[in-house]
Formats: sequence, structure tokens, C-alpha cells
Amino acid sequence: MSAELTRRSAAELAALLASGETSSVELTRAHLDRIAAVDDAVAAFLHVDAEGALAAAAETDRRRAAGEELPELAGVPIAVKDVVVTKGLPTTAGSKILEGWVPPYDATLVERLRAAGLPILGKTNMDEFAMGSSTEFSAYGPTRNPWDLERIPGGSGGGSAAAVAAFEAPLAIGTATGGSIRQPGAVTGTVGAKPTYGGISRYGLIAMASSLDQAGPVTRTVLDAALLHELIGGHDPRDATSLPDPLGPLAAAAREGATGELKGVRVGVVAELGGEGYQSGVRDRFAESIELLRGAGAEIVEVHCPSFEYALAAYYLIMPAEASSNLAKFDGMRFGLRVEPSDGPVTAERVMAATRGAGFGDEVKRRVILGTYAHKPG
Amino acid sequence: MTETTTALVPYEDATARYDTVIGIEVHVELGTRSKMFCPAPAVFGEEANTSVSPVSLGLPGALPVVNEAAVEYAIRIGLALNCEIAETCRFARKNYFYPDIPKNYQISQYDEPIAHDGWLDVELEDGTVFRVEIERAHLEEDAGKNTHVGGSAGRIHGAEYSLVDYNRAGIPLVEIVTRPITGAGERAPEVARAYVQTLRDIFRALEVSEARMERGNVRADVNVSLRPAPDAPFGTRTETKNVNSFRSIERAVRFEVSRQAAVLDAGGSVTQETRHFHEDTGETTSGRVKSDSEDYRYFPEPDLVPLAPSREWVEEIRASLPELPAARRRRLQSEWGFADSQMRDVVNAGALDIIVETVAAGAPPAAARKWWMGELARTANERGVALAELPVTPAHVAELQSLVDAGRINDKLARQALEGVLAGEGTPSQVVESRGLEVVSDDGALLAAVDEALAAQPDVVEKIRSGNQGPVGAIIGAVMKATRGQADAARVRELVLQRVGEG
Amino acid sequence: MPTLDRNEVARVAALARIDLTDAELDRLADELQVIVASVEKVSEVATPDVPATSHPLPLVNTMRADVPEAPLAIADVLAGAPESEDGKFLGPQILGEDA
Repeated sequence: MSAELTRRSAAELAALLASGETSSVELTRAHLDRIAAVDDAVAAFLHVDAEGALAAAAETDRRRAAGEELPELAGVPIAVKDVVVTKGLPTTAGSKILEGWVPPYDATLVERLRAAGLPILGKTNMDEFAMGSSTEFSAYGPTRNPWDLERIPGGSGGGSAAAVAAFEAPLAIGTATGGSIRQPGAVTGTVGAKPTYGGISRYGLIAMASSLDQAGPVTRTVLDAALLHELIGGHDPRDATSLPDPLGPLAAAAREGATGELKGVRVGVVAELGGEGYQSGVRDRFAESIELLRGAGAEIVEVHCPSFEYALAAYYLIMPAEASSNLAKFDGMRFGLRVEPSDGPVTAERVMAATRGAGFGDEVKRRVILGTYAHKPG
Repeated sequence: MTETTTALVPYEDATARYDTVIGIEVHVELGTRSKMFCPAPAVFGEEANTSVSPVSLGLPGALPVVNEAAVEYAIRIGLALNCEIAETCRFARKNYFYPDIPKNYQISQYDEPIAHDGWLDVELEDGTVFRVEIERAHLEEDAGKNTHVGGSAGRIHGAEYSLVDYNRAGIPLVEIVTRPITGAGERAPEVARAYVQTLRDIFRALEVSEARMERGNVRADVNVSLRPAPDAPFGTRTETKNVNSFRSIERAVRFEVSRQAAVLDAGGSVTQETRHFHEDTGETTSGRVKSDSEDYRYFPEPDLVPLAPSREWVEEIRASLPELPAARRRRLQSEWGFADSQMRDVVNAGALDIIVETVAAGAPPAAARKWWMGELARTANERGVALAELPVTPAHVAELQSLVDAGRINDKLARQALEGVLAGEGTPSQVVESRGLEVVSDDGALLAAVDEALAAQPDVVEKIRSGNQGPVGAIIGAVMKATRGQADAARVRELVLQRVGEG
Repeated sequence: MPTLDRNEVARVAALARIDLTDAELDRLADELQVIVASVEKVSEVATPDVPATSHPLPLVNTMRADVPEAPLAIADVLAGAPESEDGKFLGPQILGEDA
């Protein structure tokens, strides 16, 4: 039963919980066992919180037994990318500069997970400060692709994607600035969705590029992603950039789409995404998927975004510029690593520079320098 | 780098040959209940780091959200300074590393301040009105507090380590920047002082800040430059930071003018730099060199969406503004019928509010002014205290004057009664009673005294009868002396003449 | 296009408070080209008459009421501090800069 449980989708597990065929404690134990069995090889997790997860699971079981009305995903365990701040659980953003830091507060999305009764299994590995697309830039070692341990799981959220792909968790939280939820999804055969900016609170996301960052669901089915998205999304007064209106009926849309009947659905295909530069086979598969949608009754509409030509250049400016400012707070003064210069006077300025020189990996340094340069006039 | 002896040109000499241009930046801490970008309490006690949230501590992942009251206060200030209120404006990050700003950037406003292009008429002590043009007023957050430990006397250079308290980090500030102030000439120090004082009074009237310079909730930085003539291009300016009192502002400007004149006279050029003012010596010394490479890399704050105060909201705020100090003074002067110089004296003596209260307690304004600016001001001076610290209240003064107006005491007796009140003997009525200071109005008693005086000077009667009015005064004097000054002199005169006339 | 020299990178590194080795400085001098190239590319359309966009959302006026909330407990505030004394964060001396 245990091995079976870890193969189910979150929606299926939710149904089993609702019917009483399993308990959250049993589910959580099953996943912890799975993690113990495979994570040495996969290395998806930076920190596993067995005690906390089981306690949360027991609490959810108690609430359910008391007749409390619970959200659909209550009791289903989840893994959280280590760029999201979790109270009482170490949060490193994949960097040495935050080694051992235990936040005194929860991100809003974590508060919502806890309030909904989802046990948090642990924190997943990532490229340092979400800068990368392979998880090889983690200061704590790479994560492996469960399908082939010699391959990358993608990045920056490779840990979450691998955890879900390896059945270590049915659900995970990822974050993205440029593609760090979707690309690992593609590379591990899991579902990764990047919500519209502003759709999910950024309060508690260790920021890279503030005007681009978003948290999102990492799952094995589209319905699971929609359910998780609905649970954590929606307006947050602590995030001034969060959209004021409630999310649409995502899970309902996913269920409807799953019927295979797409009559009345209009799908836009961006013309500028055609062209050269793709690995062999990618364009063909894409064209195939358009045909599948068309076959299911969807109306395919070509849309034009002429400014896409400039998108990458704009990204290369905005992302490091904002990141360089967001990472200024990591300076050894209030939290995290502090390194003193090996010689010369020990001044605040020199300790900051020594700490950041030692605590940031190469890719982070590169982007911070680029971003600092990008800000300069002229 | 310490300067041992600074060359100075005497102030009058300097201003005779150079034209002074000044600029003033004032920061005011807003008296909101929570911080600018987070709900940590803005009011806190002594214990360090007991009023911070993840946002004001600059923890990873925390996000700012704008405090609506701070925006309203900023608009109030902008309107009081006759500024345009921006239709839309944004916050910006000012990036620099320093242990007292937790994120290593300050959220401020750069090229889009919430208020801009205003002016403030400033009244100098002699009544001259000077218009200061305001370039902008914008919102930003305050930094925490560094304490330097070890090294020489707590000065930064040579300190062994520093301690940081973030209670103050994130407190809302409004920064007000003037355009270059030209045309003040040798009165520039006065103008600078009066400008900051006027701002302070406005902040209090608007109730946006406690506005106490000595508490650090109003801070001024003064820029000074000299040029050979009023039509010459601006010279290089220095910035003197954190000047902590009105008097210091004036002294700092004076010093900088003298110092810069000496530099220019010697054929040198003024270094563009930040300077510190020293209360004890009245001098400024060199701080850090202010260079353009202080590269703040400003960019719009991505975590905050733009502010677009609706015109309705702005008009609501405008309509709710209290009477500002200058307008209040004009109104009171008109109501009281004081001359300009009289009003000025009252304001300069800090007696305005106390006179308002005295008038409210029933005294005629002229009388209120007479007592507070006369007898009581003298006493306060002697005792080295402020008027408000005297053991005499506006109600007392009003009561005193009402006794005079009722004819129960005269001016001289009133002064005696006042002495009694100052000595803590009670209210004016009580003192008049206990000291027996009432004017003698009983004609019988007065006639008796008149008769006695006339009897003592028999030749006077003849003189008066023959038309010489002079000696009447002597009789009156004698009667006043006999009654210990408690006779109504006018009545005594009448009785003397009556008695003499009776033949 | 001239590559930026090591001194320029060193200046940027100082501004960013990051200690870099000489090798890192050299490598980054080449990397900074990407910024120069991106600025050029974007400048093709981001001409002075195009209003600058600072946010991808049409939101304005998001504010909060002036209501204070409980602050962090002092133990939580100082928990991650490398060093502290008397409730304050203890750090190295600050030289060469003014308060």
C-alpha cells in the first residue's frame, strides 16, 4: 500500500483521505520512507523535517476526525523549494551565505499551506538564489534527474521537480523568474506552471528579480497543479504587487479540459516562437501538440508579439539589475555567513566584501556584477 | 583629516565681497503609528530592536507595503508648502551599503516626488518676509541607529566595533528640498534659521510630527556656496549635515561663509564635500568628500506600485488642513489690533499662545500683551525661565485685569498683586484680599485723608484757589502716600478741588 | 567594441561589495559585454519618447492602513545574528564613512 500511495496523484490521495481509506500520517510516512530510500541518489532535498511533517499530519487527521471542513488538498504532503522562507526550518536559497539560517517567519504561501493542513516534508534543492537552469549551481551539490541519474533535472527548481518525479512528494512548490518552474517540468516529465505575475504572493520568496519572480505548483498532473495553485494563490495584502481579484476557477477548468472536449476553447500560438534554434524534434512535438488541441475541438489562433525580439535583451538587463539590488542584503551583518578579511583592518566594508566573495558562488557573483554594471548611467 | 587653524574672513567683510547662496534639506519624522513600509510600531521605548518586523529588519523574502497615513501626511505638508501634488509618482531604490540600512538600499523617491514646485514665505525677526522656493518634498524611510564603541570618545574613526539598533529603521520621513536660495545676502543665516523654524511650526500645526529638533525628528542639512556677485554663476557648495538646533543652523551658515571667503580670497577653491558642525566651537569640519561616484543606482522600486493620489483625495486633505501659523498670526493680529512691531515682539518672545489663552480667559488683548510682555517678561528673564514656567496662568492675568477694569485696583496695586501671585500667595483676588490691596473708594475715608493733607499744607489751598493747579498734584501725592497708593488718583483730585472750592 | 577593462570591473565589484580575484575580474570583464549589447538592442525600441514601464501590472495605490502590529520577538530578531550585544547587532567598525 505504501509504495502504491506514493504513485498516486494528489487529487487521488485527497479522495482517499476524504473517504478515510488512508490518513495523512500514513501518507506522510510513506513519502518519508520513499525519501529515505531514494534521496541519497536523487539529492532533491536539502532538509527533511520528518518530525514536523508527521506532527502536522497528525493535526490534520485530528481536525478531519473532529468533523472540520477541510480544503481538498488537506493532509497531502508537499515539498517546498528552499528559496521560500519557512519559519523554524532552515532556508538557504541553495547558497552558503545562508547556511544555517532559520527564518523567524513564514512566507504567505507557506502560511496558507499550513492553515490548509498540508504537511511540509522538507526543503528542496535549487540553483543558488535561483540563478541557473540545471541545479548544478547549488552550493550544496547537484540534484539528479530521477529518470537518468547522469542527467540534470533542470533548474533553478530542479529539487522540487525531481522530488515529484521520483515520487518523493506528490506536490511541490517551485519558483520562477525566467523559466525555473516550467523547464524542470519539461526535463523531468512533470507538470510545472508559472502563474501570471501577481497571482501568487511573493511575500516570503527570497527575491531575485522582483518584477518577474513568481511561485508556482510542481506536480505530476495538471489537475494537481490547478488545485495547488488555487490553494496558495490570490491576493495578499502583504505583497503590494499581488493582483487584487480572486483567481478564476482553475481546478474546474482543469477538470473540464481533462474530458478531452475542447470545443469553445481558443488557444493562442505566438508566431514569433517559431523560427530556428530549437533542438531537433522540439518543433515537431510542439506542432503535434497544436494538432492534438485542434483535434479536441480547440480553435487555434495565431497571435503576434512583435516585441518578443527584444525580450531576451530586456531580461538580461532587468533580471540582474534587480537581483543585484535584492542580494545586497546578504552582507554578514544581521544573519547568515560572516567572513572576516584574512589580513588588514576588519571594517564593515571589508567584512561585507569578504563575506560576499566567500559566500556567493560564481554564477551569483557574475549576475550581481552584471546587474550592478547595468545600473550605471550611460 | 583635522584642520588645526581654519582661516576665516570676518563675516561682514565676507558678505560685502561675496554673495551667499544657500540650500536647505529638511527631514521630518512623521508621527504615524506604524512604520513607512511595514506594521511594526513607530513608537518605541528604550530597548533596542524591539520594534522591527521582517520588512524593517530587511530579512530575505520580506516585502514593503506603503502606509496610507504617511502618504496623507506628506500631501498635507506639500499643500502647506504650496506645492503641486503629483498625479502619479513612484518609489525608487537608493542603493548603498551601510550597516544601518538593513536592505543596503533605502526606499525613497527619486525623480518623481509626491510634491514639488512650492514656496514658503518666511518672516524674519524684524518683520522682513523672505520667500523660499521649494523644489520638492518626498517620502522615504529612515535608517537604524549605529553606536560606535571603543576608539576615541565614540567618534567613528578608530572605533573598535559598532552596535546597530533597527528600531528607527523604516520610520516614515518626508524630505523637503529648497531650490537654491538667492538674494538673502548677509541675512542668509537668519533666513536659514527662520525657514527651519517656520517649517517646524507648520509640522506641528499640521499634526504630522512632534517636530522637535533636539529629539531628532526634524533634521536639517545646510548647503552654502559663495559667488563674487549676484549675477555670477553658482560657486562650489558644501553640505553641513545634521545641524541640531535653530541657532546652530544660523551659526553654521555664518561659519561657512567666513571660511569659504578665506579660501577664495587666498586664491583657492572650495572643496565640494560634506561637513560636520560642532556645537562647542561653532565651526564646521571636513567629513567625507562628496563625489559623484556616490553612485546610488536609482531605479523604480519594483516591490511597490505607483502612487496616484486622486484629485478628490487631495482636495479633501486640503479642505481639512488646519489654520497654518502664519495665517493664524495675521488673523490674531487683526483681531487684536496690534501694530506690526507689537505683534512681532509677541511672536519673538514666544508669548503668542499664552496671550491667546489670556484673551480666551476674558482679558482685553492689549492688557494681556501689556502684562505678559511687561512685568511678566521681566520676571521670567530675571528668573531665567520661560513665560509658561512662571507660576502665573493666563486665567490669573485675565482675573487681574478684570479687577483693574472694575476699578477695584489700579495699575500700581495690580503690580503688587501680581507679585503676590508669583510668590504663590494665591489668585489675584485672594492676594488683593489678603494683602488689602483694594483701592480706597470710600469718599468718607478719602475726604478725611484730603483734609489731613490740606491741613498739613495750608498755603497750598490759597495757591489752588488763585488758579495754580500745580500744587494739586502735591496734595494728591500726599493722599496717595497716606493711603499707601490705594486711592483712586482721579477721585482724589476731584475731592481736593471740591474741598478747596468749598472754601 | 572595446572590452571593458579590469579596472572598470574592479570599480563595479567595489560598488557591489564583493571581493574578486584577479582571474575573476578578467573573466567578468568579458561578461559585461552582454550588458552593453543588451542595452544597445533594447535601445532600438526604448527611445526617449517611449514612457518607461516599471511594473508589469496596471496596479496603482496599493497601501495599508496605519495600524501597528506586534513586532518580532527580540529573540527572533537576534537569532540569526553573527554577533550581538545588549540587544543590538554587533558588527565591525565603520571606517571612512560618516553617519
